[in-house]
Amino acid sequence: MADAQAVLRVTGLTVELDRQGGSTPLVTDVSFAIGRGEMVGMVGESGSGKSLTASAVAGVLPRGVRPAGGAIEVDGAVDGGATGPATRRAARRGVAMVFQNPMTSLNPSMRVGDQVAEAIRLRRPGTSRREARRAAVEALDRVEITRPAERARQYPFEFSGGMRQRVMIAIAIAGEPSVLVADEPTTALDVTVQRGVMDLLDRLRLDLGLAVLFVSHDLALVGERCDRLLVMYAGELVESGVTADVLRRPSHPYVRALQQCTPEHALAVGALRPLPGRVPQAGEVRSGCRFTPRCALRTEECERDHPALETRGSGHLVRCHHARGSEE
Amino acid sequence: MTEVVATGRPRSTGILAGLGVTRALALGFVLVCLAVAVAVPFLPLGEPNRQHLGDTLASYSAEHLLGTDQLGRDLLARLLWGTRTSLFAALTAIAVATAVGLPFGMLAGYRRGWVEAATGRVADVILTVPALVLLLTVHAALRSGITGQMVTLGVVFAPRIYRVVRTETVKVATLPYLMAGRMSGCSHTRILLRYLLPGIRAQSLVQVSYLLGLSLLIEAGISFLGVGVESPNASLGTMLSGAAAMLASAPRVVLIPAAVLSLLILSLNVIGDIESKGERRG
Repeated sequence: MADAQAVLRVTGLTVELDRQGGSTPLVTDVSFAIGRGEMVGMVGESGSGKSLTASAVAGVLPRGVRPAGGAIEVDGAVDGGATGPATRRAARRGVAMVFQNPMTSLNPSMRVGDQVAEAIRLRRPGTSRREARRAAVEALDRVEITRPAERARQYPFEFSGGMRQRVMIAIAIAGEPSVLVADEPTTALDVTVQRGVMDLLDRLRLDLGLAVLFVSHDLALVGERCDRLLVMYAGELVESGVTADVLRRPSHPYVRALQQCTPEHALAVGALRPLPGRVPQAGEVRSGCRFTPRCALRTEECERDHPALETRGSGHLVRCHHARGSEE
Repeated sequence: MTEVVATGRPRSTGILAGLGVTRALALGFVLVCLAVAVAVPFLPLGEPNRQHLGDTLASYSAEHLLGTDQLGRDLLARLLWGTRTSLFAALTAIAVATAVGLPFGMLAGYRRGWVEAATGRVADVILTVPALVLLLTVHAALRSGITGQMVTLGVVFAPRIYRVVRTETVKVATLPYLMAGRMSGCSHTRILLRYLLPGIRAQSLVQVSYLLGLSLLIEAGISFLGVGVESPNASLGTMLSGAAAMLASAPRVVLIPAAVLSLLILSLNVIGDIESKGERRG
């Protein structure tokens, strides 16, 4: 990971849920960087904080949830800490997001082309209506929508899920972002459509040099497509590194367990090994390692001390007491 | 049944296609009434307030198509002018109610927090005031005529529109497409007008058409009581009050305006139903 030329740099991001009489941390101290043209996968179970991290990067946290610490740097513009509203806006403008459910992500009462044109005009205020409309048709063409001029005049309900997701991507890149956050963009689609959308994302990030943060709970999909992986558990990063390293030599027992409960693994060994227990609820405080209750390797040390994210090989970070001497 | 259900429902095949007979009739009747209300001053009708005292309660004739009432006034002219007065009065009330209820409802549902708390309390307070008592009071205190009465009614109705709009807004505001719009850089105003307003349209129109019917009824009610439209002038309400005593001797004089009023209210409710059906389908 070329840290010097990172487009997106997240440092010590903490996200909290405000409640009466205190706040509950949902994401704690997450740091990572993504370079130009790089696609980084963020995986984890539901409730691991991956979607919240993505929303925080895109600046669209739900009501009542706020960033409580850390900084998000996009193209050198920092959002977080003592930055003024101007730099914050600059950082915001550099990030676009594609949402999970394409069925509700488009305005049902606006023509598809107009929605893309709107994004273009908001990005480049001087653009005339006609020009924006032409650019919108081009954008639809770029996301591989056939007969774009005709489709631009239709309403979202005339589009299938995969096509809507393509429109969402067209709207996202219309803002000329340098970072694209994709929050489970293919989860609601069936597998063949999913492949098409993934191919498109792949091509766009290379063509446009987009830094893509790809959030998913599909380990196989992420492993196939992403340059690097970030594995979240209970609101913190537990392992990160180059995809091949993380998947071939997983060091955190959680990542190993995740691999063992996939059907592919079950076919290879002849048995499905489910991961017992559940992700801790937000606000469940534990002094030691957060994975302890579900971990096969747990020791007294795990109960007592919270492990730090430590380097293991080049760019491979692991948060586990047992990862240290286990292989190297 | 070998009915083929089209899944890709085309939007552009005209509103009338999916309506069915009842709804088409209802819509037609309301449109005709509205057209009449607008066109009445240009129609070749007799003076609605001129009395032909030698020709009271006359039956249908070429001169008086619907006959005359107890004071010898042309019933058709009075009916059409009365429809105009009543409809305009009801529309005044609804315009005021919407002008107040809609923006506050949308703001409350969109911003939540103290905006919602403050406007919500005011709405609660207004809702506790019984409309009829307030209208009688306003009439006694201000003598502001039918327009004043209908503006008052609009204020009384505003919380009802406010509540429906707020609830719908809260629902729509959580949909991802609003967030997507914000992310592409839309201002709050644009989000409210282009994203939220179309989303809450159907449910709001149901409420508006229902309240329009109710306003007609209340106009008739207060005019009947003599605190709405002033006596010689025709409205559906004053026509009923003047002729109520004739129900036994000349039922036509009462039944015709009563039928128009009932049909109008019924039609408005049926139309409100169209919108809600459309919502469920979509």
